[in-house]
Amino acid sequence: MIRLRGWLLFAALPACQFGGPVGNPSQYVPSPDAADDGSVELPSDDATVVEPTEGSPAALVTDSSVDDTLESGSTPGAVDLDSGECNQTVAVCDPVHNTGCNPLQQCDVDPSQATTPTGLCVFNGPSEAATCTSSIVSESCAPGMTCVRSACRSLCFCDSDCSAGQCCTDTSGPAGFLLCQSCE
Amino acid sequence: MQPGTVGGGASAAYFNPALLVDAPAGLTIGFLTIAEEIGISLDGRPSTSAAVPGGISNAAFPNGSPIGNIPITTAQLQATHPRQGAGTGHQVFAYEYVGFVARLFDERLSLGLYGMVPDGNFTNLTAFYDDEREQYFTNSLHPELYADRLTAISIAGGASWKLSEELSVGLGASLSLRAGVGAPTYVSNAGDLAHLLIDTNANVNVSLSPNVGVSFRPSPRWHFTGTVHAPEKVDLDVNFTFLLPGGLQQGSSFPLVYDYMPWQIGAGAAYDIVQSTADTLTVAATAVYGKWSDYEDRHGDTPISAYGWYDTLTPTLGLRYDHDAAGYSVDAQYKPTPVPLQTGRTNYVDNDRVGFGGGVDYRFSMFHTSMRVGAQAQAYWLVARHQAKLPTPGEPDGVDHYPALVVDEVPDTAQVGGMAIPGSQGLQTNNPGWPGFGSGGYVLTGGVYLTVIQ
Repeated sequence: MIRLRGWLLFAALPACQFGGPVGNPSQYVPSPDAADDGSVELPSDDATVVEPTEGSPAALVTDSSVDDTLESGSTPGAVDLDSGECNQTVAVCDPVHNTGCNPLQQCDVDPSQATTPTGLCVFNGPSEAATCTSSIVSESCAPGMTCVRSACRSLCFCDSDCSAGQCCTDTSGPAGFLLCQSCE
Repeated sequence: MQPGTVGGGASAAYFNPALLVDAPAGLTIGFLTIAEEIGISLDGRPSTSAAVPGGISNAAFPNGSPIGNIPITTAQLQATHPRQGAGTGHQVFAYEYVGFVARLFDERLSLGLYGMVPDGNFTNLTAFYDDEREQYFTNSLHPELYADRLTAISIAGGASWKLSEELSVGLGASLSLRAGVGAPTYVSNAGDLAHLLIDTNANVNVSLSPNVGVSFRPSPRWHFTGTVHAPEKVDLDVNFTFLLPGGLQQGSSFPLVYDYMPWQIGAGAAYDIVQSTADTLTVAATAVYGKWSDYEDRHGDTPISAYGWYDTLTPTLGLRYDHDAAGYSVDAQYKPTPVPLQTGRTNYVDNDRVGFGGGVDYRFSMFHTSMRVGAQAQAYWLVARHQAKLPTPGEPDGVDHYPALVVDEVPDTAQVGGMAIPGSQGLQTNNPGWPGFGSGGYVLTGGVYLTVIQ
């Protein structure tokens, strides 16, 4: 029996493991950036037009049309975004009030239309991360909201589209639409 | 458990094709059965504080973004899919196998073919998640490297060329599958999913995983071998699309991976302690290096680095004794698990394994034909082990800052209709492996075979 145990010990001797886990599983992983913390990014108090940074999602969507539209308000086909004007017409579907889509989908802003405010029926798909995601077929934000710089923002045409304490004055969103922000 | 240094039979086409030169030419048929009894015990949930509360189907972060996969209310889940109520690991499999070895060119070239086919289903491909996402399906843990993997397709062919009396080389390949399934679906009424219109487009291709071997006999008593096996797996790509009456279409695709076997490099040595006309006693040993750190689970995911798998070295020690027409063998093996203790989000279930095997064969002649009949059996003990999950620190900002640990499925900042969710503070999880689990058991195999020698 002792000899058998010795043979087994000899057989098990070279058994070993290499590599394996790397790093401390309890290590704190910070957010990729401040916008990824799940909080809503509030613009500055003066409610002026926020210049999108080059290469940002907003820059890709607006591409100078935001300034043109908002400052002149005369771009052909663009809605009049003066605060208080709520009789806006949006092509395809209305992402502000989430109308015009079938029950399986919700209306989001069509990012391919920079001159004419246009909605796009998409599916609601949850995001794995705390940040929001959107594509031409899916949107992770709740109906009535859209994904702006990784955060869900409420779309609006006028103050009545926003919740209490919020005003429809943020122009940093997609072309042809305003965003709700604090009235202060 | 073959040490892989002693010529056996047609199975050398898979284990080491260079050893085909030592296998008797002829046809082998056999029967094999495997019984697995692998127990998984889950630690009891300590209190209801970690239970997922009800009424959170519309839960979202304060900014409106969703919290991810909405978990099922724990009480409801326990009633409909109780933890470990659909576990696996207690099954018996039966197989038939056939092998063929032929010799050509003055016995310098040996060809071998070996196939093992399970009774019942040709193969089982069962996918499951190894974390909290499994709550939506079986809500149970499953042995990672057994169960459906015991019905993997085992068909291999090989060729061996005897370069000299001392040196032989072999090249072989084992069969794997690569399949794709597409399911375009038309949803005429989202409220009546029982009347979907669906087509399927399926294709199945065969892929080969090569292996090479070498056999070297520097003296009449010594015998050395080496093998390299390329990774094997069954790939299944699933594509589905949904078309709605408005003409809108959405689709998705995802890969599934089954029966993954990593790169394996083996080396062995055998020595004839006794050599006489009637008796031969051989001691053999092998060590196989398995690159399990490349492992892909059934959803094609590689374990995260904080719980990365180990590469392993598995030794086997064996004795062979031939006396006249009879042969006997015994083997012992210790296989360390490649799976680290699962103290975080994932629940890969595996154990260190100790194995013992024995076999006997007898050569005889009948109807002017040489034959060999044999029987073999192995017993594998899966050494019990237990793991307790590490605590997940609080995350007041609602962001998962500890992705390697058990996920808080209802973040503290989550809301429903702008209101905080009662019972969302701290950890809420339906991870079936939380707060810990243990596993252990055994696997028994046994079989008989008959070889008709050419």
